[in-house]
Amino acid sequence: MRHPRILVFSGSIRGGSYNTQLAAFVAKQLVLADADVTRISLADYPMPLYDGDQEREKGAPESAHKLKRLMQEHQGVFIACPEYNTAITPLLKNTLDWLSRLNDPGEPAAAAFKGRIFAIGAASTGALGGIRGLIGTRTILEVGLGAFLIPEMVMVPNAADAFDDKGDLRNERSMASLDAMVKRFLSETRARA
Amino acid sequence: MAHPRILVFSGSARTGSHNARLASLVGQRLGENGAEVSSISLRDFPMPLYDGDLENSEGVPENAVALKRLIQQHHGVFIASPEYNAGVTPLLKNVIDWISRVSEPSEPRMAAYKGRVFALGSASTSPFGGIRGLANLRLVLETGVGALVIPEMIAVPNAADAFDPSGGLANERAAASLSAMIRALIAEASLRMSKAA
Ligand SMILES: Cc1cc2nc3c(=O)[nH]c(=O)nc-3n(C[C@H](O)[C@H](O)[C@H](O)COP(=O)(O)O)c2cc1C
Ligand SMILES: Cc1cc2nc3c(=O)[nH]c(=O)nc-3n(C[C@H](O)[C@H](O)[C@H](O)COP(=O)(O)O)c2cc1C
Repeated sequence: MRHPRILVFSGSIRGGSYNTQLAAFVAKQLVLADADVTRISLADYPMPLYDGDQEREKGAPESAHKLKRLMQEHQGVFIACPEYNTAITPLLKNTLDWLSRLNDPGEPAAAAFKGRIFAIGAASTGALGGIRGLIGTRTILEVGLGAFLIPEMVMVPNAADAFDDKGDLRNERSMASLDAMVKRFLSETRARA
Repeated sequence: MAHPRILVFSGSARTGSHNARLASLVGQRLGENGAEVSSISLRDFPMPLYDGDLENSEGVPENAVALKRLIQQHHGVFIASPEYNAGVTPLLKNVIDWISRVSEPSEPRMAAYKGRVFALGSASTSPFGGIRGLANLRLVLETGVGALVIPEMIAVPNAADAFDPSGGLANERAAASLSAMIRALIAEASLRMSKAA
């Protein structure tokens, strides 16, 4: 059986980020299920704030091209999405918007988002676990970018106490939602491997 | 009669921005209807992408503090917000998020968003006029930062052909919703004149 290739990253680059911890834990669960996982940090793909003038003069940043190609080498992409003021972070939105501008000749618009399956989750210090940000991010990915997204999402509320020393999730409900997400994500990525 | 002060800006800083044109049209109409209008460009308030580590080590950027104070000198704020991929532009979300982190010790959290009224519009090259981006922005302002946002909005579809040579809106329906929004924003901003400095 072929192992599905899955790219995992977090929408936060801050040291100690709970979403990066969530990304790490999702990656671990996927590896345990025999997926071939690539973990990256958006800190290694810096991009200036999107600006149409800059795009016209200099094109998209090299990091956007690199990340697009990397996504295209994977059958699945998991993104841990912090919620800022009920919505996506500027960092993540900026990255998605730059990527949306890239397609090689012969490719559809926003090519990085086509032909693969996406899953999202969130960790938040609030009690709602970032659900409002996830809903908005679904609209951006599905309606804005034409990406295919599995319905299952993992949410980690009260994130400061959510992970144990090994980085595993303590909360049973979060763990159950994570299991359901991983299960569906694996079957969808395997079907594309 | 005293004149409510209204701040107007666009969520796009690009040359030839349709949203900047919309912002300038709204500014003009507000002025004609008795408001005292300040128009700014976010290009003059550059801020790095929000990052919690940066905030910890260096604090909030000066431009976020400056823009927060400027907002507080107004009774109303109009934002022309482009739609990118069914959401808000990174430029605008970044500005909103940074400003949400600024308040003086004597002030409530997210002080810039309290005590004044907001109105939203969008110009888009698509036939939908950016309405999905506006819905997202409304959620951010209302639920995220606790701002009061009037229900009247102005969405300008097919923006490349939407403005007549004098800068007005060619489409009658768009022109009518613009007038309704201007009236409501001025009325609501006027109600707050005793509150803001
Ligand atoms: C600008 C800003 C806005 C925030 N808004 C929300 C919010 O709307 N809902 C929420 O649950 N948490 C909110 N938070 C708290 C985050 O959930 C918390 O900072 C979390 O740790 C961020 O993710 P990270 O640890 O991966 O960086 C906000 C944080 C920041 C910095
Ligand atoms: C990254 C990007 C994403 C876009 N996504 C959308 C969209 O989802 N819906 C839409 O109506 N227009 C979309 N557009 C087109 C914008 O409406 C158009 O570029 C508009 O002119 C932007 O506003 P501005 O002229 O004020 O800069 C997008 C443009 C860019 C650059």
